[in-house]
Amino acid sequence: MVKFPAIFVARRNLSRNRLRSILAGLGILIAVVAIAALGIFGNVLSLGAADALGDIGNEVVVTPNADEGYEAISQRQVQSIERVTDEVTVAPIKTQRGLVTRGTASTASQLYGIEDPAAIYEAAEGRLPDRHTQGAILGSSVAEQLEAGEGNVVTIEDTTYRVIAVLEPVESFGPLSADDAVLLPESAVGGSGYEQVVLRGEEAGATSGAAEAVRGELNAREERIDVFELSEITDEIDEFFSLLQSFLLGIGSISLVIAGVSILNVMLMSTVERREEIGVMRAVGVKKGEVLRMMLIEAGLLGLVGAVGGVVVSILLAAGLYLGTTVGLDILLDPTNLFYLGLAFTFGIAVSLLSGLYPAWKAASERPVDALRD
Amino acid sequence: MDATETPQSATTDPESVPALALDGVTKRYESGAETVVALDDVDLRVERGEFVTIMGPSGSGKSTMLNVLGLLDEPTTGTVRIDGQLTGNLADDRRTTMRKELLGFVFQDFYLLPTLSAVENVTLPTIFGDGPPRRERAIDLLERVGLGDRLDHTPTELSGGQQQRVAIARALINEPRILLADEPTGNLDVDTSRQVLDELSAITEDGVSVIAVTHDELVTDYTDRTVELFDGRVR
Repeated sequence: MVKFPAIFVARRNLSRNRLRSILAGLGILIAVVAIAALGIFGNVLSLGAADALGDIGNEVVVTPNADEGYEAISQRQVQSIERVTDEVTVAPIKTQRGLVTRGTASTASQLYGIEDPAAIYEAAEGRLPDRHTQGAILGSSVAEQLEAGEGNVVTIEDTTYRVIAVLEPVESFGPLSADDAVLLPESAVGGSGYEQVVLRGEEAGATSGAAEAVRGELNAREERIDVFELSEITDEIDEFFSLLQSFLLGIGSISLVIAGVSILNVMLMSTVERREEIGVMRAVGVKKGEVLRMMLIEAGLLGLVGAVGGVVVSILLAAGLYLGTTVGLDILLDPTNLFYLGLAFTFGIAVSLLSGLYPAWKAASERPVDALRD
Repeated sequence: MDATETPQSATTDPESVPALALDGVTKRYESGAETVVALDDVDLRVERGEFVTIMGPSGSGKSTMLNVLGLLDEPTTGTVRIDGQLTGNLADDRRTTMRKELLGFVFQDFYLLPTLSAVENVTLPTIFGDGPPRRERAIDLLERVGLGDRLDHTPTELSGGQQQRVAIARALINEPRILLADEPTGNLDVDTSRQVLDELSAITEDGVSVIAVTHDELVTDYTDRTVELFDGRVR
């Protein structure tokens, strides 16, 4: 029961100067929109980038250390790698470049000699064998350029191969992006050792452990190999987006500070105007705490109306973003966006209450004697 | 005449506690480099159901007297007892509650909340704190002061005299022992003043004491006695 009289009187007091209350509430609304919209915008960018980068964070590429003169990774080294790692798939790859021809069309592409293509690739057409002993598997761009599909015949370095599969397009880079490559059996690609070994894990954590283990084992005495964790790239990109997000939110917060000052101003004006009234309330037996609560609720109501309005407008803006750009619905509906809506709403109300605190305290502490003395 | 002399009607009963008792009340405050003595060793007794006027020229200490009686200010020395209860050295919340329970106020400028209706204004002192708002009593009081047909009017829709009567009803909502009136007729014409003063007199019949601080001579026609203040002293 005690909360309600304060709310009742607070609401009436706000309606006294409707325009002023509306404008103050509007300030909070705009600030909430600023924070929510900027937060969601940054978040959508970040999610979109993560989406595009795909799973590259789970990949590690081991290459011979060319600076020290090592040119290939030996079979024995591959076996060491397999020994010291678990929870990752190990795929040694022989690499060459070659001309791939079909009829009159030809294209220069990477040739990957790989024994177990199914471990790290996916087929769009055909089936990837567990042991690749014959036939060629085309990357999606190569297949498109040569207009070749499963069953066709291509010529690579004077040898003809039947196309047994075409790979799914991959949005990535490095050896795992085989869009411009052709996968051949290991024996078909020359060279005495492997040019690279790809480790791929299911869990993001597994690959960093594997990278450590491989470094420890193969580079124990000399730096024979380079280990590149693709997660380094995703980490850096994440860091960038994080920074961007903080920056955007920082900008949004400035508008919230301004809105808070506006509420402070409105409440102070209100306090000064109602000095006598508040004095009378105190004289007839309303306690200091009750006056304080009433004024805080006034500020809080202004903030609540503004924050709710701000959330509504933000949702409309997000809908506009979906309709007006290529942003996918799944990214827009991601629950992390809800976090920014919630954050903006909470900050809006918190700032209103904080701004109302000083005027409320001032009103409540005024001695009725002084207020009633004209 | 010594203000401690009380009318014969109430002195003989030892159990009759005066509604108000001031003993040796002095109020001093610093004003710049000087010390101003607003009230100087004042003694005052007001019995239940008495209507007393306190009069004096400007600067006589009338406002200070009202503030001390209204528990809005504490005396520098001396005691104030309302209904026998000591009111000095109390925490603010306790003093506020005492005001709520024992006193009612009527001011020259009425001081009704402009966004509330007559009924809401009268109910206001009851809506904070424990217990439900006393809306029915508010309606009853407004009817008693002749405003039963204007319950939902806001102050801007009421005349000065009507507003003052609403203020009287508000002052009575918590069944006070004493009603304090600060220039109750200050903003009213003679006829309306008489109406308001009639109301105040009627209250005393229920045992509520009325103390009016004023310089309107008209008020003395209605009161049992007049206390004169001059330079902070009672004459």
